[in-house]
Amino acid sequence: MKRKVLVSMLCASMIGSMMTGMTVSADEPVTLDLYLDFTWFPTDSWTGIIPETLTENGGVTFDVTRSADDSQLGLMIASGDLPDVIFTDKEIDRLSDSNLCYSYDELIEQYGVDWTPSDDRIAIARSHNASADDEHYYTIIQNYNSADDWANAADGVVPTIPCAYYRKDIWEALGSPKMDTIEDVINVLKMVKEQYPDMIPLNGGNPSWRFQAMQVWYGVNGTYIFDEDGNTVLSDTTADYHDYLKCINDMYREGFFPEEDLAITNEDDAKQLALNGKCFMYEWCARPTHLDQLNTSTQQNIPEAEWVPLAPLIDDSKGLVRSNAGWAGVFISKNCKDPEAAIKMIAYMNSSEGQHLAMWGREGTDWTLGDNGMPSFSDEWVETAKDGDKMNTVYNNNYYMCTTELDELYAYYSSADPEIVEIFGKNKDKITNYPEIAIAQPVSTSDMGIIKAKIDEAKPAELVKIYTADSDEAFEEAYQNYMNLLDKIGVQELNSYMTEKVKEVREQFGF
Amino acid sequence: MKTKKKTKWELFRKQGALQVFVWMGMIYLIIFNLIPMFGIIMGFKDYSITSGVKGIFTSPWVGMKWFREFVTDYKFGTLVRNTVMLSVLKLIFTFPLPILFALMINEIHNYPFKKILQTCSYLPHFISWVIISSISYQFLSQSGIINTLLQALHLTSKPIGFLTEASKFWGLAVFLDVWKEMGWWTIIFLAAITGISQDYYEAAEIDGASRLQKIWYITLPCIKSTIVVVLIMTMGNLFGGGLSGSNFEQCYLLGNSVNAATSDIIQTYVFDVGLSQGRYAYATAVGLIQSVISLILIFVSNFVSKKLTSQGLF
Amino acid sequence: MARTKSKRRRSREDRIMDTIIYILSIIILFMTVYPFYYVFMLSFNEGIDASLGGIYWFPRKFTLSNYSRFFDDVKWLQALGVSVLRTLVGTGLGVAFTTLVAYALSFKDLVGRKAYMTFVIFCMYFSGGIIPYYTLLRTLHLIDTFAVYVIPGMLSLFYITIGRTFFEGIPSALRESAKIDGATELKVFTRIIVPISKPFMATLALFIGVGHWNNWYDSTFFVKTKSLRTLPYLMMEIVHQFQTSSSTNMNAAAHQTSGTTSLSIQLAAMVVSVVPIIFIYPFLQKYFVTGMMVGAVKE
Repeated sequence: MKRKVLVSMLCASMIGSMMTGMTVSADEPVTLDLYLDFTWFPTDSWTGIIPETLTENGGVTFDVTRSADDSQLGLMIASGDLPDVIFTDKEIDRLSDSNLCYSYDELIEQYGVDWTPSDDRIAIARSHNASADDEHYYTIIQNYNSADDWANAADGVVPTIPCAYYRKDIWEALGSPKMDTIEDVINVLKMVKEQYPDMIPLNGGNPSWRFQAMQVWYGVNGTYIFDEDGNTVLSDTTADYHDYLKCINDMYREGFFPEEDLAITNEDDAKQLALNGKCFMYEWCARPTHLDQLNTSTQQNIPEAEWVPLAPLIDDSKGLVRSNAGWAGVFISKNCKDPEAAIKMIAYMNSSEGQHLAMWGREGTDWTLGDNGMPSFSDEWVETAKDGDKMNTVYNNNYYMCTTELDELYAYYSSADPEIVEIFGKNKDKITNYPEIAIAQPVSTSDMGIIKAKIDEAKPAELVKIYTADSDEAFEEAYQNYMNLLDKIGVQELNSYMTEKVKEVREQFGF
Repeated sequence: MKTKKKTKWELFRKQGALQVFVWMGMIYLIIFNLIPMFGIIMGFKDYSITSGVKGIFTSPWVGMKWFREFVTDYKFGTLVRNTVMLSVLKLIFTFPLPILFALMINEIHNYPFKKILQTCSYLPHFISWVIISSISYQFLSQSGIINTLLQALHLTSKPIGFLTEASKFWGLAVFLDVWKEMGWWTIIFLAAITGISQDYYEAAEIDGASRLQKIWYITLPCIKSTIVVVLIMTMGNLFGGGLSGSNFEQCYLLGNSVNAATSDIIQTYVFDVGLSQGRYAYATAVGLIQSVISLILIFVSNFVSKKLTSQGLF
Repeated sequence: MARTKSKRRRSREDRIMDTIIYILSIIILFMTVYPFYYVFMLSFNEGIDASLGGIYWFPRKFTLSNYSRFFDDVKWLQALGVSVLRTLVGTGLGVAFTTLVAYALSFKDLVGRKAYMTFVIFCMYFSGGIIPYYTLLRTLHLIDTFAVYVIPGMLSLFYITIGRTFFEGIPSALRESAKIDGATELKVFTRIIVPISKPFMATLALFIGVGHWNNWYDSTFFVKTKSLRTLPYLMMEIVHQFQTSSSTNMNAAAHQTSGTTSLSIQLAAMVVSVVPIIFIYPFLQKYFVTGMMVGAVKE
């Protein structure tokens, strides 16, 4: 009986898809729901030149819903009320499940789609599978490039790493002191503190980038790094991390940043301090477009202000461990009205034509490929890009669901000032990406994943205690407490798990 | 026995219309409150949201596993301490202050001024905590109005971290709760005071009682029953934050990693593990503990109050 | 007469007490009103300038631009309409239903009264969490409809307990006489009880109404259609726009950047949400005193 129902349902769905197939051929795009699991996403409508062109070429138009709350998607999963297509970063592990979503490989085969994702990208997707024996993959995580891609990348592109920006005008007024070593930088901050007592020398408020530039100095930027024996460990447990913490604590005790900075949870509150001219150094990430935004907005208040990046001070012996294997993926849920149209659209958006279109606009009209291998944008595009809101309504280049990291970076670097790019790119050769670390990370629903979640939950409050210790003894005590707490939660197990797993991934995929 | 049963049944039939009214309410409660309570069994199961609603019934039992995990968690002590301390502090301050404020308003004899003061004092009750937390940031941050004022008056040389220092959080929460709710709960007490017969006061005046004596010997005893009812309601929601039930919202909106040592409470923990980490089963178990404690508190305080003052909520 | 007497007998104690009372009152009054004024005033100031601080009494750079997004965009007007409608309908239904149940429960000889009350209290403190609740709403076909705003919150449990005590205070003779005239229970309720319960019902209306007006939760979780969204939902959306959720991936974090100042717009949003309450409030506030009193005082 049950089988009969199933068969008749299958028939119905086949007829359904045949009919939709017919409508596609009649140039009528299919409408699917698209759920964006990001409350901060800059757009919530499939309008503008880029989405419209994507629809024209990919055959799907999306009815977009932007998440209103971080727990909304969890509720949809639990209740079985999933939308057709979902773009998420928080629920990748849960959605990589054959009960909830269609696997890409099966859909590609079933509908004869002309798209074969590369092995490493399939490996990344499969590392999220809820069940380890599951051979399928349910998404292709965007924003990733292989080591080969990076080796062949256009000159002058720097991966997204933390960056400290400082006020050049003030630095010049101080007599342009040297800023080549950590001691130099601390010395400059000291001078700012003395000569501009109303200013915060170091703005430690940006919650996503707090003190990350200093982590780069000590080689502990990144959630996991390698210790001397080559083991993969949580960076907090390394000796270098202790030195990094000591450095921040010293800066706190010098009065370079107030305790209140550490309480900021909203990036905008921290940025205000930079735009108001209330701070000398601001932490963000290395991107020419970010710098432009910083300069334009600050100059509205203080015409003479000029921000410049501080070159990443990377120690030769340490290097910088990146672990980017993308960060979000598109899923086709089992509720999808038309999985064929969905997979075809996603395949199109994953083609280099679709990727370029999503990020750069129409080839020939909005951009042409320059000699440097980067797009060179039309005047109209450049003019519109100056106003973020206008950019979102006219072009809407926000649907980076299937784009690569390099495509995105080219857009930011294409018309950047070479001088600035040189500062960003200093020590670029010491940056190495280890996607295996990202692949090895435990699935959030596993016991290891819960250990990691508990560490993440405990970390912010513990770090505050260490940063703001008022004496060396208090610092050591707070540090020791943190280490004990990590042990109690189970960091040793996590470290050995990661070490083993990274080895496994390397053997399996030859990274 | 039989006859008694019969009379009850007869009475029930006689109350036909009233019973229909009540049962409309009960059926409504059964549908919207009782039926969804099957979710509570999640607290005893190894439930994962990917198994859907069916999974609530089909997932394996784990007994008290989540309760044990919570009790042995490194945060358990801090969470319990913060929840209890914050709740007790609110009981100590937000409960009696409306009584004092009501007594004070009652002593104002300038009618227009009294009216304005009263009307304005209820106003904050209607503003949501999201908005109040934004306003308090404007006023209490280190560069906020209060610190600017304190520094201008040379009362402090360094700005005070009202919103960041762990030692200030309980005070901050209690203060904001008083600010928001004092006026509103004053209404009850003020109304009770208005109901007191003037004869008592006139008699006391003849005996030469002072104003304070009148308050102490007449007003307070006369509003005792109101105080008891409000106290029972406060006790029932003690760990939610008393009358206004503001513990969660305050700690969620005003808590941050700097004052986490005092602002992490059980409710915010349930929210974090349940919704942010997606561990619904665990969160249900922890939430259940709090529900049980609240229910016990309200029954006990109702019982005690009935015995002592023959007043009760139900 | 009493007044002249007290005037003549103003003692030293009176003077001291009055001075203390008036000083305290003025401090309390200022502390309550000024934050509202401050928000209102600052919402008319230009954004980046406002973030520089130092504005206490009047806007420094006056502008209406903070409000433009609320009134230019059709979605805000639509949401305003939905919010007004849900508040009106939801309050009407909620008051009627809660009052009816509380009234019936106020009869001391009601069979099963204790059991009913215990059940109500039990429901106040326990819930099965959001997942079964969502499933229930879906089974009832309430998800993504206007009804989901007004049906689930129709019974206010806390106010059943207060309302019950209020109705107990009504002399039973009033009802009995009507019943002798042959009126049904429902008629007694609508003709006799409702008119004299206005204070209680007004208080209840305000309580439920404010709840409806400020509720963003149901719009967030139970509604998908954009035209059905409420004002608090859109306000939360603005707040979210400027919030960064923690992400360990740098490329993800780099995307979460906002361009303009958020503070002034948030302040304007606050004003938009608070002003209707302030306007309705004077009409209802005369009832609070009696409404709250009779409900809480048991003879």
